[in-house]
Amino acid sequence: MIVLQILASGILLGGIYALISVGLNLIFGVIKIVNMAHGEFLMIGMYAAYFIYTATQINVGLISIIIFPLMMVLGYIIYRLVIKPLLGTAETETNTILATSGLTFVLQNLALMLWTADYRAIKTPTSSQSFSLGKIMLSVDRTYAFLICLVLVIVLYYILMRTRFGAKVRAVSQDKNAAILMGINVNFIYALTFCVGIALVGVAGAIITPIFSVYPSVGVFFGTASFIVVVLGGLGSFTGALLGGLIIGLVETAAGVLASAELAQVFSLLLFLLVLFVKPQGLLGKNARV
Amino acid sequence: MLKIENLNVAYGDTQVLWDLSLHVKENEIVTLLGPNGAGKTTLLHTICGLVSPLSGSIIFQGKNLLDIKPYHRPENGVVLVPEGRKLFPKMTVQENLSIAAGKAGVDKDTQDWVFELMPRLAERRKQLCGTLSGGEQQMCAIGRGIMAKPKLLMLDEPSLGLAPLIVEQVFDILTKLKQTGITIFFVEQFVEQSLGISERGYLLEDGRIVLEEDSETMLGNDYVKQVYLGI
Ligand SMILES: Nc1ncnc2c1ncn2[C@@H]1O[C@H](COP(=O)(O)OP(=O)(O)OP(=O)(O)O)[C@@H](O)[C@H]1O
Ligand SMILES: [Mg+2]
Repeated sequence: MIVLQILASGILLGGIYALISVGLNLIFGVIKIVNMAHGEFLMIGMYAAYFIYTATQINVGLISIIIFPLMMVLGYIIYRLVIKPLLGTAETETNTILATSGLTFVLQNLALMLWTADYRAIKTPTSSQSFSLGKIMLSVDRTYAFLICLVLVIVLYYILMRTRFGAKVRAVSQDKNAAILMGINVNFIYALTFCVGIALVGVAGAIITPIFSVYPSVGVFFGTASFIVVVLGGLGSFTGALLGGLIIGLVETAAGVLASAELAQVFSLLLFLLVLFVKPQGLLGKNARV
Repeated sequence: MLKIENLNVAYGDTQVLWDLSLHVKENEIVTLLGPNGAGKTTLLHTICGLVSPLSGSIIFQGKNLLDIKPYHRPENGVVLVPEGRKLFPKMTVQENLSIAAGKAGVDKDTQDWVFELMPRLAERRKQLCGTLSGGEQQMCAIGRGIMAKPKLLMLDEPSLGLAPLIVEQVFDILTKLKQTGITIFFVEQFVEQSLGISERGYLLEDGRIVLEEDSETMLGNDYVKQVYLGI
C-alpha cells in the first residue's frame, strides 16, 4: 500500500518538477544558453500568482492563463536587454552564464525591496484537503497542479512534434546554420523559445503557489532542483526534463516517507551524482528526438 | 543570373577570399574546383549569408543578395546543399523534406518528383536522418534542396565520402535538375566527372580565382591536368 501511495504522490510531485524544469531545458536545447536565473522567474510567477489570487480569489488554473502572456512579455524584455546582445559574441556560453547569474541577484533583491523577506502563502478553499483514490490519499491542490502540468506538457509536446512551427524549433536546436539555409528565421525562434521557456516556469510558479510559500529567494531551491532534473534526464531534451522530473519526484517522495523529509533532497542529490558518474550525458543522453 | 564582383571575405583577421569575381548564367551548370582550404565553402556560405563579406557585391537576378536577410534567400531562389549534408539528424526524412518547403508548405508535385528521382527516399520516409547511410543522407540533402524550389541550386562537395556508383547517381540527378530549368553551381573534387556535366568551371586557389574556362578547355589545361588529374 505504501508503495502505491509513494508512487502516486511521487508522480504528482514529479509532474510539477517536470514543468518547472522543462523551460530551462527548452532554452538550453534551442539557444544553447544556460539561464542561471531560471528559479527567479519561478519566484516572479509565484509572486504574481500570490498577488492576483489575494486580489481576486480566482482559481489558480485561470491565474496561469493570465500569467503565461505576462511572463512572455517579461521574457521578451529580458531577452532583448540581456540575452540577445550576447548571442554571437566570442564567448556566448560563458557570457550568458555570467549575465544570467547577475540577473539572479538583481531579481532577488528587487523582490526583497518590493515585497520584503516575508514568507507568503495563499489559502485556497482546497488547501490541506485530500481525497482518496482507493486506499491512496492525494492532496487536492497537488493533484490540480499536476493536471495543469500534464495538459501543458502534452500541448507542448504536440506543438514540438506535430506542427510546422515545432519542426522549426527542433531544426534550430539540431543545426542552427542548416536551419538558416532552410529559410528559418533563427533569431525569431530564439526569442520565442526564450519567452515560452520563461512563461512555462512562470506558470509552474503560479500553480505551486497554493502548495509552497513564496519569498524572495525561493527560486534558489527550485532553480537548483531544475538543474538537477535536466542534467539527470538529459541536457537540452524536452523528454529528458519530463523523465528527470518524474524520477526526482519519486525519489524525494520515497525518501521523505521512508527516511525523513529533511533527507529527501540528499537522496535526489545522491542519485544525481550516481547518474552523472555512470551516464554523464544524462539518462536520455542524445537519443531523445525532442 | 548570379554575378559576384570583387568579393573580399575574412574570418576575423584572416582574409580568405580576395577580390573574387565570377558569374553563373541562367540554366548553366558551373563547377568550382580547388584544393582543401581554398575558400570554396566560404564562398558558398557568403552567397547564402552564413558569412558576411568585407566588401564586394553579389547580384542575383538583378537583386543585391547582400541586402536580403540570409533566411529570406531560399525563398528568393538561392538554395545551398551544404558540405557534409547538415541534415537534421533527429528528424525523419519526410520532416527534413517538409521543413525546406518554406511558407507555402509542401508542394505535392515537387515532393513526388523528389521521390521519383530518388526512390530510396520514399522507402525511408519515416526513418530518422541520423540513421541513414551516407549515400541516402546525400540524397536526402539534395531532396531537401529541391523541396525549397531553387532557381539556383548550389552544392558543396555532394560526392564527399560516397562510393563511385553513388557519385554517378548524384551527377545524374544534377543533370536531370538542369533539364527542368534549375541552374547549378557546385563545388567538387572529382574534376573529370564534374567538368563532364558542366558548361564551365572556375579554379579557386588560396582565395583567388586562378582559372576560368569552359569545361573542355579546362580539362585540356596543362596545369589542371598536372595538379588535379595527375596526368
Ligand atoms: N568559421 C571559420 N573561422 C575561421 N576560419 C575559417 C572558418 N571557416 C573556414 N576557415 C578558414 O578559411 C579557409 C577556407 O576554408 P573553406 O572551408 O572555405 O575551404 P574549402 O575550400 O571549402 O576547403 P575544403 O575543400 O576542405 O572543404 C581555411 O583556411 C579555413 O581554415
Ligand atoms: Mg569546403
